[in-house]
Amino acid sequence: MVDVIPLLRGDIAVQPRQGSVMLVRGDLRYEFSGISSARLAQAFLSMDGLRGIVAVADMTGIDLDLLEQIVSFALERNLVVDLASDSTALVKPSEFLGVCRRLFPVWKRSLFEEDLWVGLASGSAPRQVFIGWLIESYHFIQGANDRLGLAVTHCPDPRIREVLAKHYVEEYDHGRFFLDSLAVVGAERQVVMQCRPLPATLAVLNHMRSAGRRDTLEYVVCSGFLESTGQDQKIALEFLDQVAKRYTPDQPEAIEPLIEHVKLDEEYGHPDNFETICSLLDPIPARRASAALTAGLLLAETLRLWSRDVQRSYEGGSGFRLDLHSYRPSSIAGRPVSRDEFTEKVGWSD
Amino acid sequence: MLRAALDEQARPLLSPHAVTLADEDGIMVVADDTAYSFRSTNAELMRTVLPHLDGSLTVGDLAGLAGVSWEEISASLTPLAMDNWLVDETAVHRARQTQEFFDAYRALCEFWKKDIFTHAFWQILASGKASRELVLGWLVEFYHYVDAANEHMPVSAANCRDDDTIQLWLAQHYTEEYDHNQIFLDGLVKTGLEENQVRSSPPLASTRAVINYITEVASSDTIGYAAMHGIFQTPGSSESWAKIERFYEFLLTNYEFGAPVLKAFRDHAALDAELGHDDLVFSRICARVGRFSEERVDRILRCTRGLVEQFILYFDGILDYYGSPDASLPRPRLDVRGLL
Repeated sequence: MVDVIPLLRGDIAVQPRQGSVMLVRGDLRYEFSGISSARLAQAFLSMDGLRGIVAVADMTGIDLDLLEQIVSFALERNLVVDLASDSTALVKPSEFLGVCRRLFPVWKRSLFEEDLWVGLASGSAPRQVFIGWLIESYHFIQGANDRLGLAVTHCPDPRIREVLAKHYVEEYDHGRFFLDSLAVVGAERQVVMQCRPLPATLAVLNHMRSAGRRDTLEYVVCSGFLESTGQDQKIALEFLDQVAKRYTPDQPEAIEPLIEHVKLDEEYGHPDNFETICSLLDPIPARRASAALTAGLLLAETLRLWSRDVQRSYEGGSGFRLDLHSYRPSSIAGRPVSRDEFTEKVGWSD
Repeated sequence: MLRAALDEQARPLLSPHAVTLADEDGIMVVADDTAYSFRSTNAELMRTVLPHLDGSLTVGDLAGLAGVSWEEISASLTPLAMDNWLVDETAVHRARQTQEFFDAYRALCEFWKKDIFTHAFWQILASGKASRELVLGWLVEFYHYVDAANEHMPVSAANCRDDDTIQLWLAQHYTEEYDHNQIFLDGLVKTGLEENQVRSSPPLASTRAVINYITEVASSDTIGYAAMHGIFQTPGSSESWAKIERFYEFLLTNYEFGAPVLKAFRDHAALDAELGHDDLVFSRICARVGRFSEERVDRILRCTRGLVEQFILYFDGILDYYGSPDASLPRPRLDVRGLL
């Protein structure tokens, strides 16, 4: 038992209570008591697969024999995994896919709880935020050329490269859907194309580019998560319907290009690409699989950052918001413009 | 000197972080911990001029509005420009000489840096009341940032294939910097964090965003990459160094638990100064290239401004995550074996 390198399962929440610690996994709850709850909680949180049981005992001051009993109990119930006995450390692609399928909805929930999405669906976000969301979404979708091209180039497996290349070919000009929407609400095409994207929009694209360069699997997980956000076509269309009712009630054609985009993605089968690619993989070294999941998690976090950046940068009614991006956008194609001129050109006036 | 003179053609832009207060005695512009007082005729002049310090009018235009000479306008605005709360954004475009351009660029960097260092994070830190998680979390993220020198510096050299001399400067800079991550890691370990945990903790998305941004510029634009280091250059004057020293002393006194890594922070700054990193590769590039084209100047400014914006998000991220009571320090790594 002293050789055990315990790793607390990633889907378990550690909840310290008065005189006990609760491990919660879905509907299951395990209560541990009899020793200091602070030490016990620290012990569980220290089971990160990086240190042995002796180190955990040293760190927390819990008696080694007692800790061994606790870990033994946790191992039997699959609350903790022993990495020392994990000699193969290879993950089957189907298992990896299963892990992603469980994680993606959790990440999605956390993303769509952001004020931006709630505000757009309810209509509580100012009109400028709606326009800002369209502008930044344009940059993001147009950015398929920044990220997918790189992912195709760096993919070493011809079978996977074929899937990515097909995706790229089908996606490369989808920025036009957003430009078309923006044109209906009064934003000049040239102005939108020349506006610098927000820093968080750039962050999303740069993260995907970085993943594409580092490892195709990292990119594929990121792309799989992105596609999963539109996977439930019904929910996506309901959201767009709400947005149309709130922001363009007299211009039904404004949101139509976005609806067309959602339907086209579905028609192309982009949400299924992740599964297709996983079916082509050989067993994955655990370290590589973990790095790919981390890339996916960081993308989900970057998208939350994006949501906040869009909300914060546009809600003041002007890209000239002085607290964050003092000079945005102070010029169009290198020519300084006044606040009024910019407001008029992107259709911010009600 | 870090400031460009405000000549008749200059278009002064007042920092959005400067606040104007007016009463019957005159006008006060308050920026950070400094107040600039304007009284009697000077106050009248500033009353006319202040609403127009948005970079759109020249000093000559302002003089016309106020009915005074452009020299008087320039003299009144000089104290704000000296402390980089006011800048002439056009000076970099109008510069004719290399040194003139470099000085104007440095003034713009100092002006833009205010956007980073007026962030709420620094105010909380300066209050002496930041939590242990926030202070150490900031330092862990800074470790990730310093560690990423191994991502952006080598690629900057590898992609600089048109000029062997500049490539060598970039490579040399890297050789002096590549193991500085250890200075911070050692410091963090002395605060009680475990080396393995720190090294394997995922950086915040906002930290990753800064690293990715710098790496992207390093991969695609040698001059833009070298130029944007101007944001990190420490001010050259002994007065500025004394101010930085006082700040470190304050941090060491108020956040004793972080002392080992805060000292590492100070030592690293001193080491960089000793290695001459304040003598930017960019200043050598300026001297070598001579005058930049308009398009090149625009690209330099875009790269640099972009970095400032990424750093604002970086501090947003630190405050959001480590300012929360649920923050884990360091952030736990994700291991697929705990999810199967």
